[in-house]
Amino acid sequence: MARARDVFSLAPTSGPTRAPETPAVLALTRARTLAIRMLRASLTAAIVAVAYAGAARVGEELEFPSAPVSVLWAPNAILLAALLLTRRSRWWLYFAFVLPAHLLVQLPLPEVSPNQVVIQYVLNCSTALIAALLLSGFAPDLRRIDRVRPAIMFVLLAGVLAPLSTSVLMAAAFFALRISPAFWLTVLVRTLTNSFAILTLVPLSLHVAAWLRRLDHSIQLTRVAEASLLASSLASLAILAFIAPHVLTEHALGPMYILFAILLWATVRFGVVGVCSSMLMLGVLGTSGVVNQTGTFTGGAPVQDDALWLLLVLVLTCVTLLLLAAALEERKSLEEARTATEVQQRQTQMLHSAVLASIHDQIVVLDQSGVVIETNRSWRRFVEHSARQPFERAHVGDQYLQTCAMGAEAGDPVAAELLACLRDVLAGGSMRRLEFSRDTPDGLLWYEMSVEQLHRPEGGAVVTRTNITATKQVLNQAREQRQQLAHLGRAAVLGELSGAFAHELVQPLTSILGNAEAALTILSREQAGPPEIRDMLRDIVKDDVRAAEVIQRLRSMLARGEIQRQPIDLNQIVRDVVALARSDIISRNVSVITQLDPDIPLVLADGVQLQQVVLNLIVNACEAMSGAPADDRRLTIGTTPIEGGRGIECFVADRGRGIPADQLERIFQPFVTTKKHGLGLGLAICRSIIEAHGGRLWAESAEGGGSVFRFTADGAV
Amino acid sequence: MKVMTSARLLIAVVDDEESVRVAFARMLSASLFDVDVFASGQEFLDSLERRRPDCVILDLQMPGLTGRDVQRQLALGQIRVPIIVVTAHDQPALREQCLADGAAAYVAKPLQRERLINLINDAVKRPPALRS
Repeated sequence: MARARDVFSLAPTSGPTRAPETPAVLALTRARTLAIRMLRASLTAAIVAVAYAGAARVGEELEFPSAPVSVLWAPNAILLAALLLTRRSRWWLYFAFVLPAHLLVQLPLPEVSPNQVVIQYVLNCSTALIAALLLSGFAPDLRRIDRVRPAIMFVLLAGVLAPLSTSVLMAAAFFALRISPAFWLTVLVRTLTNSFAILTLVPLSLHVAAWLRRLDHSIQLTRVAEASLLASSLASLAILAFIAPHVLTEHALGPMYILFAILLWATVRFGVVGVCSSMLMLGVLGTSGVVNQTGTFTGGAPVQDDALWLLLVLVLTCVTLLLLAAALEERKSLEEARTATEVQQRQTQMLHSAVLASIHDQIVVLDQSGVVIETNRSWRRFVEHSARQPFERAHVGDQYLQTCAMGAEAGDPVAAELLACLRDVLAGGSMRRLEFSRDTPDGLLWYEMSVEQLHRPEGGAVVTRTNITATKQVLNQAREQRQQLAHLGRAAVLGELSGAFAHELVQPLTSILGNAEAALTILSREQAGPPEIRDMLRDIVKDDVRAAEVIQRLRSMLARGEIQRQPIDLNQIVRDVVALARSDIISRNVSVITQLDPDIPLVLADGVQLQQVVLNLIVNACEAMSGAPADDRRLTIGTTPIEGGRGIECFVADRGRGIPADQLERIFQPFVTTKKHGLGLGLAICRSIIEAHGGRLWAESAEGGGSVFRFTADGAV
Repeated sequence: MKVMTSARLLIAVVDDEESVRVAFARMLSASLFDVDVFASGQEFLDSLERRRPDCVILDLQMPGLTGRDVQRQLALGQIRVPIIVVTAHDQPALREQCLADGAAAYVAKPLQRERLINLINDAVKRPPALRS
C-alpha cells in the first residue's frame, strides 16, 4: 500500500483508476517525472549561472587598484539569493552550474592564474554557502527582510561574518601563493565589496520573489510614477556626483546632502526594496566613478583610499537604511494587524449588540457590584412605556441592588425576592427564577425574571424579564381542567343526589301510603274498629303525601331542570373522558384499551351527564385495580350496538378483585361502598342518570377476574 | 258498572321492591280487585301465557328488564294489556316516551288509592291500540 502511495505521489499524472502497471513502467514514469523536475531546476541554475557570469564580468571591469579583488563583486550575492530561494537539496546544482560560468569569465584573463581561479571559485561558493547555512540556522523561514530582528541577523551573518571569514581565507591564500602581498587590504576590500552586494542584491531578490509568489500583482500607477521620479532624481544626482567630470567639485557636498534626502525618501516610501535598489544604483555609479577617477570621491587622495572610503560609506549607509526600512515595515505590519484586530473586534461588538437588540425579552446586564452596565432595546422600550415599579426602571449606571432594596423596603415582594436572587447569583450562586403578575390595562399579565451569572472572570449577572402570560394561561387552563375533573363527581352529587334519593325515599313512602290506604279502605268498608284508627290512617296518608311533595319539590329545586338531550356520539364521549382522565390513569399505572364500534347510532342524551357516568366508571375501575400488579392493570372500555343497531351498550371492564355475586346489585344503592373513603353515591347517581335516560346500568363479574359495568342507551332515531 | 258487576278485574303489579308491590296489592285487594304480583319484568312476561291481566301497574326502574323493556316486549308480542307506568323517578322525557309507546298512564310514586282506581278504570275502558 505504502509503495502504491509512493508511486502516486511521485507520478501524479497516473490516476488511481488506471490498470496496475509493471515495475518497469512505474520506474519509467518515475524517471520521467524526476527528469522533468531536474530539467526545470537546471534551467533555473543556468539562469543563475548566466547572471553570475554577467556580474563577474562587470566585477572584473571594476578591479580594485591595488588588490586582486573587484570593487563591486556581485556574483556571490546572486548565488546566495538563489540558495536562499531554493531547497537545500538542490544547492549543489547551483554550485555545479556556476563553475563553468566562473571559468568562462576568469580563465581568458591573462593576469589571473589557474590557482587564483580555483581559489576564487571555492571561496565565492563558500561565502554564499556559509551565509545561507548561518541564515537558515539563525533566521529560519526568512522570506523577506521586513522585521528588525531578522534584518540584524541578516546584516551580521550574511553581510559581515560570511564575507569576512572567506575574505580572510582568500587573503591568506593569495598571500601564501604570492599572488598579492596586501593581506589586510585584500581582506578589507573583499569583505566590503561582498558585503555591499549581499546587503543590496539579496533583500531585493527575496522581496521580488515574495512579490512574485503573491496572488495580487496589481501596481498602483501613482506608485510607479513616484518610483520613476525617485529613480530619475537619484540617477541624475548620482551622475552629477560621481560621473560628471569635476563639474561640481567646488560644491560637491550639495548633491551629496540631497542624495541622502532622496535615500530617506526611498526608505520611507519604498521600504527595503527602495533602499536596496537605490543603494545598488549608487554603488554601481559610485564605484565606476571612483575607478574611472571622476566625481566627488576622487581628488587628492590615492585612488585606493577613495575606493575604500566609498565602499565603507556605501556599506554603512546601506546597513543603516536597511535596518530603518525593516523597522518601518515591522511597525507598519503591526499596525495593520492591530487595525485588522480592531475591525474584527468592532464587528464582534456590533454583532453582540445586534443580537442583544433583537432579543424580545427584556435584558439588563449587571457588573459584579450590581451596577447596570448594559440594557437591551426591549428593556429600554419597556422602561420608557410601561415600567411602573422602581426596580423596573433601571438605566445604565444605576446601582440595581440599591434600586431593588428600595423597592423591597417600600413593600414590593417582587423587588425583595429579586434582590435575594441577585445577591445569591452575584455571590456565585446558580441561576434563579421568579414569577410574578401585574395588573395592566390589558388584564393580568405574568412575568418571569431570571437571574443568571455573567460568564466572565470578574463576574456579574444577567437579568432577563420574560412575558409568560401565554404559557401561564395554558398552564392555568390545564390546572382548571384537572380541578374541574376532580370536581365533576362531587358537583354532580348535589344535582343528581335528588334522583338517587328520590327513588330510595319514594319507594318506602309508596308502600306506607299503599298500606295505610289499604287498611283505611278495609276499615271503612267494614265499619270496624274505633274511628280514631281511621283518623290515624288518614293522617298517615296525609303526611305521606306531604313528605312526597317535599321530596318532589327538593328534586325540582336541586335538579338542573330538564335534561338537555341532544344527539350525541357516545364514542366521542368515551374518548373525551379518557383524554380528560389521562393524568389520573397514568399516575395509577393503568393502561387503557378502547374498543369503540364506529357503527353505533347517536344517542339522545345529556352529554355532561353521560360524561359523569363514564368518568365515574373509569375512576372506579382504576381504583379497583390499585392492588393489582402493574402488568395486570388493564382497563377496557368499549361500545357495541344492540337491539339490531337501535341501541347502544357501553362497558367498562377492569381486572381488579371483582365483586361478590351478592353485592352486584347492592353496590348501586346509596351509601354502599367498597372503598375506604367513598360516600357510596357514585354508582347510585350513575344509575339514576342512566335510568333517567331510559337505559340500564348494571355490574357483572368478568371471566378471569375483575368486573364489568355495562350501561345501555337508546339510539336517537 | 260493567266492571264492578261482572267479574273482578285482574291487576298485575310489577315492582322489584317487595314492600311496594305488597302495599299495592293490599290496597287493590281492599278495593275489590284481583291482584297478581311480580318481582321482575321477566316474571311478569312469563306469566302472560297462563293468564292475562286486565291491566298492569309497571314500575319503570328495575334491575334486569326495566319497565320500558317490558313495555317494548308487550308491543313486540302484540299483547294488548293496558299499562300504568309508575315511577319513583319522574322524568318528563320518559313520560313522553312511555305515553307515546302506548302506556295508558304515567304517574309518579307515591300515588293515592282514589287516583289509582280512576286510572285503572280509564285504562280498562280504553284498551291500547296496537302499535306496529
